[in-house]
Amino acid sequence: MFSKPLFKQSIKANGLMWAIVTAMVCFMLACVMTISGSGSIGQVADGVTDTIVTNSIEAAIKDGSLTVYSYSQDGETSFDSYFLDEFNKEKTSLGTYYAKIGTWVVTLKNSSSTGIPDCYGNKDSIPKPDEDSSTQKTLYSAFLSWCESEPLATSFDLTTPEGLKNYQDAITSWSGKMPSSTLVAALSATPSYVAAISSLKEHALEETKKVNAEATEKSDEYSEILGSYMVTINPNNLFDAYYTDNSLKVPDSYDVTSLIQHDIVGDAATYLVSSERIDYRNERASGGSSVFFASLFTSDAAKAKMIVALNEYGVSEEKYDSFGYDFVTINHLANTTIASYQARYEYEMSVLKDDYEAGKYADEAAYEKAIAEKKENLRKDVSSSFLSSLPQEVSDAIKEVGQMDVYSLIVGSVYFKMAGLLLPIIYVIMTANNLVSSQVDSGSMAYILSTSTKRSTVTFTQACYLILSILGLCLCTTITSFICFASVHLTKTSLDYGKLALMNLGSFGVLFALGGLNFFTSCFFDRQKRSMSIGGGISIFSLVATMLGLFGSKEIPSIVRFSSLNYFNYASIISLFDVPSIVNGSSDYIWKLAILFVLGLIGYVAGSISFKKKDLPL
Amino acid sequence: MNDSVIEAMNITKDYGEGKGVFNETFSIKKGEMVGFLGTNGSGKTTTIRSLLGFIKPTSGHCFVEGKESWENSSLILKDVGYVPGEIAFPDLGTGTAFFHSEAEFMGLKDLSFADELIKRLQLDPRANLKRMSKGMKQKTALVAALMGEPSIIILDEPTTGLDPLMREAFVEIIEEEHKKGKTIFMSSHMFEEIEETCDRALLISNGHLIDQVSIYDIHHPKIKEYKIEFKKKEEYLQFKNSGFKVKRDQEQYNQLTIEIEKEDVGRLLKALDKKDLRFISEIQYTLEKHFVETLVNSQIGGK
Repeated sequence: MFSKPLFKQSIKANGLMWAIVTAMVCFMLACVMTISGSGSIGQVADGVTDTIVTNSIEAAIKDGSLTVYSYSQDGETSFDSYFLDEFNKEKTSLGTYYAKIGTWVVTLKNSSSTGIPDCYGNKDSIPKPDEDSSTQKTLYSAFLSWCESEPLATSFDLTTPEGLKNYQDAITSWSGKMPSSTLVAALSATPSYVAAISSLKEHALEETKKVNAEATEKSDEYSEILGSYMVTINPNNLFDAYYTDNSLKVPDSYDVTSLIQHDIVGDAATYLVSSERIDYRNERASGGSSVFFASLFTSDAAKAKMIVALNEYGVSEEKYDSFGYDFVTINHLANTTIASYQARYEYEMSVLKDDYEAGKYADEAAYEKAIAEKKENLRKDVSSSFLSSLPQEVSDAIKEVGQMDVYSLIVGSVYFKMAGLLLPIIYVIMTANNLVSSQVDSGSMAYILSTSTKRSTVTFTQACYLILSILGLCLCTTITSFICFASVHLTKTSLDYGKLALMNLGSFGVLFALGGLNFFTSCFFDRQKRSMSIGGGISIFSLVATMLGLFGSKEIPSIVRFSSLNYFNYASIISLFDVPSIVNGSSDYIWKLAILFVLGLIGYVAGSISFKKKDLPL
Repeated sequence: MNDSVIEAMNITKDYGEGKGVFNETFSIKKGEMVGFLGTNGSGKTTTIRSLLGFIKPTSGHCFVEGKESWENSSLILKDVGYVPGEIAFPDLGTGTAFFHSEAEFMGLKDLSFADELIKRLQLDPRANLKRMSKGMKQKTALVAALMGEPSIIILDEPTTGLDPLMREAFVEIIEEEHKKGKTIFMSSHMFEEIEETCDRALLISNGHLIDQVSIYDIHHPKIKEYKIEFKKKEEYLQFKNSGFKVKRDQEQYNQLTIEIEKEDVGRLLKALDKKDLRFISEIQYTLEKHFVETLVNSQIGGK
């Protein structure tokens, strides 16, 4: 079956070519892997990726800060109206009580002969406060102490005109000290504040349920929305930590005084929607929401979320940290975003208002709708990332470039599947023809066959030589590729030793199959010219088709892809060497490789059979 | 059975358009040296390839040492030394490398016979195979064919391209092998060569075997031809009418060519007694003459 002298003869005849081809292929491979691995090819892609990633992060920051800002605004507006409601309620009930006491004082006054109410004497009959109302109690005790401080006639010598005058003066001063109606307002403020805050909490839950119907008070959404309210309003300085932790100045207490004042004056409703109050709320919301958002975005949970979202660009935690999105940066970015939003919002609203006043809208509803639309657009506009501002195709293309594994492309699809196959394919064509058809054509096969070597032995030995020499070549490239891969330092490639070995196996599969083809034509045809032109022609065609097909394949970024060239891939046997599948780690390459080996085997077997059966012109 | 080592039975290899060999039947006995004569393209090489089992006849069978050639090609080739007509060597560099490789193929350990042949043929085996002259290649091929001392030697036009001296040395070696009792089958288109060396000749023309002759018969024909020229016209005329079979008559020279059976030579001499002759010469019968005659006859017969 196997003829050692024939094998030796084949080595002597083709060994030099093998050595040269192998050396050149390994040298080229080493050049490709080390030069392209030295870093220059990935830089553009890295730059693009970084741009895309930072853009995405900033878009997320902008969008998030605007969301928080709008919640803060909403919280403030709601708080203002809750507060005023509560305040009015409180003030009314307290006012009633106050009037009651007032009446009591007047009654005492009227029943007194001197016209001076005997509050001190009747202090036990001050109308009792409602047990549930702390404000009434406070008011009661204020009156009680006022009553107790009443100057008594017995303490003065009323007989002397001087003493009488003193008494009258003391009474006048005491009367002026009677708790005034302003105390009612002052006392109403604190419970109203507290009540408004608790209403706000309920409001937060409602808002949360709008986002997520199943949300409870324990869900993250609730705490985020409530947080955006509370950090802005900062009731009772409870949320100072947000500011002090990041060495920021704690803002003044939320201004309810103006509300109370305007309430007393009676123009509170107007004041609530006045530009003065709106500006105040916006100003405060801008500061509070950016602080709250910055601390929210720098939390570990948010960071982890962000890294998952950026997974497709292969962003690691280290990489994310290297972008430097800390509290200060985010706070600043959120602030400027909100500021630019505010500025544009004001302008756009004034334009809309002008339009409305000019009668461009049919009714109020159309105007409201236009405002809502404008708001939405504006928000999108301000928070949109760089990519979303581009047409879909262009942004996809840029994303693709950013995600491209250039090193795998160069080493796999360009070298192992194309450039690196050229010389070995030429070797396979020449050797397969030298091994059989050339010897039949020249007649030198006679010296092998006339030594009683069987034809099947000849084909088996020659096929062995061809396969083993290809295998040897591929082992050399495998070793070379491993050494080169170890010597380059790459960060952004999914290539590893296993994939590299599979790529070498793939190119062996291609050479095995083309070897089978050329071996068959070599055995089938008597004339070397014919066998070489058919076998070699198909082989080289396949390679050229692969080269052209690459420019239509998905591995090439769509910017430079010429998709109709993809048809060439269907015309080439080399397409069965599925480099993208190897790089992705999917299993498609396995059956394709199996087909290559089966095709090759068919070639060798069919060649042997046809050689055994044909007439030899020797 | 019979003692033929090579046997062709009705072999036909039809390449179409009248090319090929048709219905050849012949056999060669052990120890015989047979020449295979035919013009270029008459089918000599095709016949040899069929004998060696390199090609499969369209019909008929060849046997070498009783084994069917096509089926047992590798077996029969063990005993055959073959010198192909067209000589090309494997890509091995020098002649020495080639001989060593061939010896390895044949499982031959002792190369002394090859060395002897090389010496006799004045071959320089260190020469590069590719740069060898036609003669050197021929010698190299012969050494390769004979070194294994096969019992059958088949040569396809082995002397073509050799100078006369070389050819003599070449033929001498083959004859020596013949004397050792080996069966030799050699094709040629040179009649003298076959006539000088072989016991028997097969004649082939356009793929058909037209005759098989023994060289002895050619050299010792039953009918001899003489050419006689007379000095005098009267004697010429007298002889012309004396009853001998005249094959050719050239009156202007008083010349006659007559055919006469071997036994009647005495009668001829008697008839020529006392006649004044310018010359008398016997015309030799050669293989070539025989070939041409047979060819002409077969064509006439064919028509």
